[in-house]
Amino acid sequence: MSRFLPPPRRRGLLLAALLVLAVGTLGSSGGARYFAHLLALAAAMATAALGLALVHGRAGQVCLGQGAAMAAGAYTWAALAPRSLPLALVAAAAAGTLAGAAMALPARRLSGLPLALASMACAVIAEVLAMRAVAFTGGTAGRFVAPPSLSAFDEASAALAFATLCLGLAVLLLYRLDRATLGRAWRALAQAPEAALALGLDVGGLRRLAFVAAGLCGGLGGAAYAQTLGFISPEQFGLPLSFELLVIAFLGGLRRPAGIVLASLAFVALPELADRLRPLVGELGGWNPLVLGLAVVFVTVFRKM
Amino acid sequence: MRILVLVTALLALVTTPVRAERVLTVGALLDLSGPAALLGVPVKNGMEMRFAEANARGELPGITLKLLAEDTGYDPKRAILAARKLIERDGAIAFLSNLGTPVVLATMPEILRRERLHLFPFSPHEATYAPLHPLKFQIYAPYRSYMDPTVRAVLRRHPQVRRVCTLVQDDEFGEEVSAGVRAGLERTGLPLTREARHARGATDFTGQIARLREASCELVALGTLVRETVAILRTADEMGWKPLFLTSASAYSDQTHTLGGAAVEGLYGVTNPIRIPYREGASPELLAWLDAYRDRYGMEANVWSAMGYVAAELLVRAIATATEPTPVAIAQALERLDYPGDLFGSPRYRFSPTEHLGQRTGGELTRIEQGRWVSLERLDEPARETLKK
Repeated sequence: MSRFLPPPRRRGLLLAALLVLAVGTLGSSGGARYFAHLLALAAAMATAALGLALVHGRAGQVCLGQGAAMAAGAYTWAALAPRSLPLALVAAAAAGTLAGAAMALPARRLSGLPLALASMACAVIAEVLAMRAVAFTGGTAGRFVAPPSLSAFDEASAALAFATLCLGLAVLLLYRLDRATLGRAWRALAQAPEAALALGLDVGGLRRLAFVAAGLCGGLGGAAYAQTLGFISPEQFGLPLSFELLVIAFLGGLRRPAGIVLASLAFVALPELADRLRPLVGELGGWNPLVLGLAVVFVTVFRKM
Repeated sequence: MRILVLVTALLALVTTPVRAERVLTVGALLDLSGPAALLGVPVKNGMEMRFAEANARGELPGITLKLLAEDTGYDPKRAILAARKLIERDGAIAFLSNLGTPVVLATMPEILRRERLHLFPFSPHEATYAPLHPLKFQIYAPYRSYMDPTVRAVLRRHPQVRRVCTLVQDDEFGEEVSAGVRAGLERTGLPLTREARHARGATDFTGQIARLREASCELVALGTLVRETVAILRTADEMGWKPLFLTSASAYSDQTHTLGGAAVEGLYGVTNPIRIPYREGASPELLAWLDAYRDRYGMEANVWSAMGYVAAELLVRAIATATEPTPVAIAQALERLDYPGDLFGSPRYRFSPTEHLGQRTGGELTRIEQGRWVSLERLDEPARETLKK
């Protein structure tokens, strides 16, 4: 369990983030349902960001295309959820895995910045594909995701429950992989790639596997995202989303699920807090992104690596 | 006896309906920080100004209007969250002038499902009024609809023109403009001589202009944005080719003549549906409005401020005649509304229980004369079948 808690050095910072969240969310007090929507969105983003943590923290690579895996999961979920929820979830995870496998292809030959750029291209291609495959995605007009018909829950609680489930599955996956031989091999790769190569580890294969597992997380995150927002369109899965996920993974500490969950919570809470502060600054265009950007810079500079 | 009087007085006090001031919250999903912030801010100001006037003059007895604008940054995800917040926290009963097709398409289903009014969004998408829904209304005609009467109006002014061509952006926007032009030509019995397309964001049009010139086009209808329109007319001018040009409302902007200079003289356009409120040559009423706006916001009003103001005007009129201030009653009042036009050159807006698009003509035909858009004539109705795909 201690693996899931941050080390004491960083605990202060994370508690501060939690405080930001509590103040931000309670302050804007959009009501219980709105709060549930925010939490669900945070869980969905965290699920996808966990995959990036795997790629970076374990395989030592940077993925700029996680939005593609999310898109695959989101559209698959939207298409199949009306028929069967379990089937849709499995299919969304599979679709994300496929997207991850596609991003893994260049990893056979590339690593470092070239590989990051290749994965970025995947995100761009995914957005274009989503625009063109009108029959499946609804094209630029987007696609409506039907709210779940679970009589026991209202819409917002159902979305939150589902997003939490997806997050739980992703955390479980990471935990299992970490304990397996694969996890140890990845750690070796992340810490000393040359040594790992000298030990006879299949470095390229390990990198590809990390991308594939990240794709699975992305697929789950995409399904949760689609269910939470209730509407998906191609431009939602473009480069900005991939970068947002990378920022969440980076701020979360790249290795620990708890850190990433906190970072994604801060990511949805900060705009709320910024909204609360808006009366102090008056009509300032771009105020919310400004607060978010400053927070990112602040955390990056002051956290102990 | 004294007790009886006291009790009666008390009873009277209790039963007298206290007319409490009711606050009606109207939400707006606008881009105040993203790529369309140049539109979002004046739209917000225009709406706010009309609401403030209504509140100050007591136009709606017992009702205070409040506008809450949320910044979407043109991002559907943020827009969905903002819409939920406006509905759940602020209890918004209507959404007015939501800005941008991605934002509108993402948020409209939920807004309607939660039974709030969805009024006059800045999106030319057909989904904003069709299929008919009791709570959604639109006043901006789609390209397909207004380009039909527009191209016919130009042809009436130039009966010698026989060869009509199009040059449009290679996407849905361009395709919609092109469809409207084709419908207009069909009704006049002329063929479309040649079609040319350009990629989104293109800056060089020499190839397209050369092809259109080769086809001896006499009128070129453009489905292009401001920058592209200016570049196309400049290129043609430099090549010494002078056909008639017509552009959609997407390039009906004062930037077109500011950037284009002499090269864009004579360019035809369409207002859809409001005139640019120029200070020079303005009527006294318009001048007073422009001054009031400048006093309030410290900047000059533009066509977007006027559009926001007119959208708010329609809502204020509907609330004034509604039996009660609820979304359904206001929607019914809108269906009875007949708006004759105004100092901004709005066309007549009319809705009915079976028609929630307020006008389909696009407003007025205009042309750039001596460095500014001049309104020439009111456009007539497009063919009914134009709207059917």
